[in-house]
Amino acid sequence: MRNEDVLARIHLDAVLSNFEILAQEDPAANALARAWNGNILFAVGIAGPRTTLEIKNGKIKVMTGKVGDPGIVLFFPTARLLNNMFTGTGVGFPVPLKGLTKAKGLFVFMKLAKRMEAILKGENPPRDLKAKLLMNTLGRSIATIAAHEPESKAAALSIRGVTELRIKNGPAVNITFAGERVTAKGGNAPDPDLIMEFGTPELFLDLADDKVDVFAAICLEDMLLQGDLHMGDVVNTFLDKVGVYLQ
Amino acid sequence: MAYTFTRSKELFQRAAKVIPQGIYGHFNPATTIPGSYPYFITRAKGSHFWDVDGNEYIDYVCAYGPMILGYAHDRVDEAFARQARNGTATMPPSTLLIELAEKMVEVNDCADWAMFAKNGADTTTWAVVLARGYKRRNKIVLANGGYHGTQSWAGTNHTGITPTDRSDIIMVPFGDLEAFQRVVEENKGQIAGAMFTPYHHPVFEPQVLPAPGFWQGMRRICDENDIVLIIDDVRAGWRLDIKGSAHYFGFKPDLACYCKAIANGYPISALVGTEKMRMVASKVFQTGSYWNNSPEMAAALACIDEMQQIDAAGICNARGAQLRKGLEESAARHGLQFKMSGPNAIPFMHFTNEHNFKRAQLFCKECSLRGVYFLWHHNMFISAAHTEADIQKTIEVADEAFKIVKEQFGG
Repeated sequence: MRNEDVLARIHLDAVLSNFEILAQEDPAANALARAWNGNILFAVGIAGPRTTLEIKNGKIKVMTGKVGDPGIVLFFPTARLLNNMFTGTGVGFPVPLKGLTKAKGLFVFMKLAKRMEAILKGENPPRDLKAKLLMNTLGRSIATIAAHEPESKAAALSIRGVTELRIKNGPAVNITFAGERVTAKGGNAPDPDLIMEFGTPELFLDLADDKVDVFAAICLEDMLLQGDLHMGDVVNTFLDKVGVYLQ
Repeated sequence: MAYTFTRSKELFQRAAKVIPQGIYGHFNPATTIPGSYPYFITRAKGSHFWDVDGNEYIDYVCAYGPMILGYAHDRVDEAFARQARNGTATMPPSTLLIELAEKMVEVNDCADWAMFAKNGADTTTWAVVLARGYKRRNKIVLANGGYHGTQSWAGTNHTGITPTDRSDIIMVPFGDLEAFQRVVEENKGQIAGAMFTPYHHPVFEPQVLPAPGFWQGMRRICDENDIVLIIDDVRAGWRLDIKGSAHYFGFKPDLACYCKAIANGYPISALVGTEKMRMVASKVFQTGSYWNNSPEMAAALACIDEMQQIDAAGICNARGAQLRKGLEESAARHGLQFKMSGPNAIPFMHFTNEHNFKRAQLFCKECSLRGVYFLWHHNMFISAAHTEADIQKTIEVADEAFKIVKEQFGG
């Protein structure tokens, strides 16, 4: 079952962080990002999570918490309202506490969001960039679910070490399980305890669309699963839940 | 000549088109080393099997336990075939039903009665139902990492299993009497049963034998609180002690579940119990289309009799001890930190200086490529068909594999 608080964290931790990659790798997005400099703070509830998205000279940086003095503050009284805005369903608008006069910044962000949607959901997107964005989303969503969803937290406590998800000769994300602290970051880990490697970007994109029989893919060596398979078993349940949250 | 797996892979591709996972459940080879293990076999005899690419293996998986006397065992197979010619699923059942129940009562230390099903999970579920019916209570205590089947009450956190399915299940660490006592006190008068394996045999981690006094303590707490003590002897049963693994560890449960080695590979399982549980067993309705099939009962009778005659558990223990000694000594010669945990007949191998199994996976891969079929993630099984020559050959192969592990990992 979907937990709105967890989904809000996925949107703030995993989905927003994709804008960093987008501005870096996609020329069109980079051009958009160059049109405005400033910080946007996303805030949920009085004591809920906060994430700052900084746009500066065409680069985007996403940081946990309130960083600096954001020019725009988007306050969502509940997690559900934030989720509705991200998913484009139901009522989902923030209370703009600050920054109404900085409409250009919001306009730039909306344009970047449209570009993101075109790559992730449009026809004939740049395949490698889409795979990289989805890899980042999956890795960070797994970490968020493992760290914050009550039933997954218990499972996460049973594993310790580093899981690496990667496409062969392509993008990677690694997730560190250290008790209650679960973190994800892009790139390869020096010595991961578990490796999940997808033979091709196409296979990975199909997996992200829930079109891959994972066990069969492993046996046919289209996917490599190596190392701590107990960790793999647990991570697989988190992976399955990413689909539930971001369907 | 190095083993190759071309035909196995071709067949798996064919299978995956019409079968989810290609091969499903615990038989799925994703937990082997794909590309270095066979997926399908053509025949098996004794302690060996031959795969579809013509490779021969000494087998230490024994179908995850059912094979104990050797594949294609003449006496057991003939008993099955003879009875099959007289009918299989019949109503009324064959008199073999009585004979097999009498045999279980004769052989098993805690059996005052016996009932039969097909799989281990049938009997663990049946036992849970009896426990709940005994004092009309709901809660069941299980051990973390214990395995009692994939049915929803026993499964954990997998797709399709809901928190509601597990709402009356309480987990405790295996071997922790204090934790069990605490749970009993916190749930006074609510716990129906406690189901454990006779020793701890989880996957992905070393096995743990019960500390002295543990089972006697469990028995006492269960008696004081009217809790039904259930032993899931599906995996370990018959390999430690013909009288049951509870007898091996010196206690008597109220219910015990058997399957796997009971009929050397033919599908039958047994739930046995003490006099105390007879009345509730007479009230509960549990059944299945094939639970009274007679050929499997004939096979079980022949298998149990043969196990008694040759002391199968004793042979498994002796061969397992030979294997353990040989592997541990070979590993030590290469400067590797390698141990076998659990009983000799049901060993789990691990390198003590790693927790991510990378050495174990390389070791198993190299053994498979040389004709020895090991598992790195799960305990293995020794059979009475394994010969001293099998074990010696295995140790020679393992020596080569340890050398490669040493070269790659340094220690």
